[in-house]
Amino acid sequence: MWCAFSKWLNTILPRVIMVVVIATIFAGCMTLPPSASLNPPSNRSGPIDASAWVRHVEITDPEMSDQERKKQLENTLTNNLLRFLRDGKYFRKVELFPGTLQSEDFILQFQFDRYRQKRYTKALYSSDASDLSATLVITHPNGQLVKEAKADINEEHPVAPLSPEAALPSGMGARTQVIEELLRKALFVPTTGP
Amino acid sequence: MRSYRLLHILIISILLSSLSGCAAFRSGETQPPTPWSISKEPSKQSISLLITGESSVNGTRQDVPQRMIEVWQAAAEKAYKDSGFFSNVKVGAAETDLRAEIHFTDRGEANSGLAFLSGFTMTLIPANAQGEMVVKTALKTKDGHALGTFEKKETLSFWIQFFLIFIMPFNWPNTVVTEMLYDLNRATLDQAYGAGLLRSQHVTDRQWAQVMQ
Repeated sequence: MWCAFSKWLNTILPRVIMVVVIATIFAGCMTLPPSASLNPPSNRSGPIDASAWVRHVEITDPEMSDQERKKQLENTLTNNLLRFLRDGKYFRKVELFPGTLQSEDFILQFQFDRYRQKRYTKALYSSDASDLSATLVITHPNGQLVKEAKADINEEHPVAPLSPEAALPSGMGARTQVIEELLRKALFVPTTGP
Repeated sequence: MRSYRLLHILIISILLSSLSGCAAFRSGETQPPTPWSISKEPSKQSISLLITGESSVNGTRQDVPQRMIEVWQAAAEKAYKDSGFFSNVKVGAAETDLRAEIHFTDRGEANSGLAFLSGFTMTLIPANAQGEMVVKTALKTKDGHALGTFEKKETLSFWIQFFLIFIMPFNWPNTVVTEMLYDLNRATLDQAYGAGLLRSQHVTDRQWAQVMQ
């Protein structure tokens, strides 16, 4: 018995240690299925005295090839944006398009041409990265363009090994930041003419 | 021969150590299922469900995975379809007579130290976590007029311990959570129907305008 243990100690254990060391040094990158959660809004500028209607969000990122997943994500993001705009008191009233619109109402169309989330792992360190690019187009019901704004973010933050985020990757901060920037540019930054 | 036996022992040890039992138990705050009320409406209305949700662990807000939203959505959709109160149930933005804005709040409390200890002892020492699910539903007309708001909640206990392996088939956490989500939506619908909010005469635009005058 001791002989077997001694053999294990001398031959197998060093190999196990070597594999563990190599595995911890190895760096990896994993594309994560993105989610659509948002942090609570931090708007202090509103509300605008008008009704707004949120159109179904569009994600046109070519890296998102699974159409069913994309559709589900668009639905969730649309619902979350509706709630976000209401909680942030950006407008007097916010509803989901379609509905009975008045001529002075605003229609908000959010479009994401990059919607990516990755996790990088190296040794005992890991980080979550978000790469987002979006456009907000605001029109009146007759199609007249009110404002168009663009925003993007490429953000990476460390993830503590024993934190809840280690199990549930998060891109909430970056998503919220992009959406708040779009709304700030479209609603509260005056247009500068040529 | 000896190394072969050692390999067997190693494999059995690994298999035994990977065995653990886990089970979930409901607090029972939601009323037990009763037969659905029978809708006597001559013409039922259509409804669309807008699902949102948030999740927190030990008070820290978490990103809700899309898969989780889909589980919540499926439970709500099934309850609304099973009820027989509606002519059509759609998910997402759609032109329907009614709209249900359903917000799920999932709060979890866990002791990571105890979880580590449990894992370290191959789950002989039990680990426990508490979960609370709140379902808040705002029923609206298609133009956004609020008809009523309902809030239902229930708490869950999750346990991990080696010998729970014998209880696991009867209290498998996924099954318990799915049943609870369905029941919370069902309780909401029962209350809304009891309050007369799912009857068509309350929600036509013209009549709504008359009510508001």
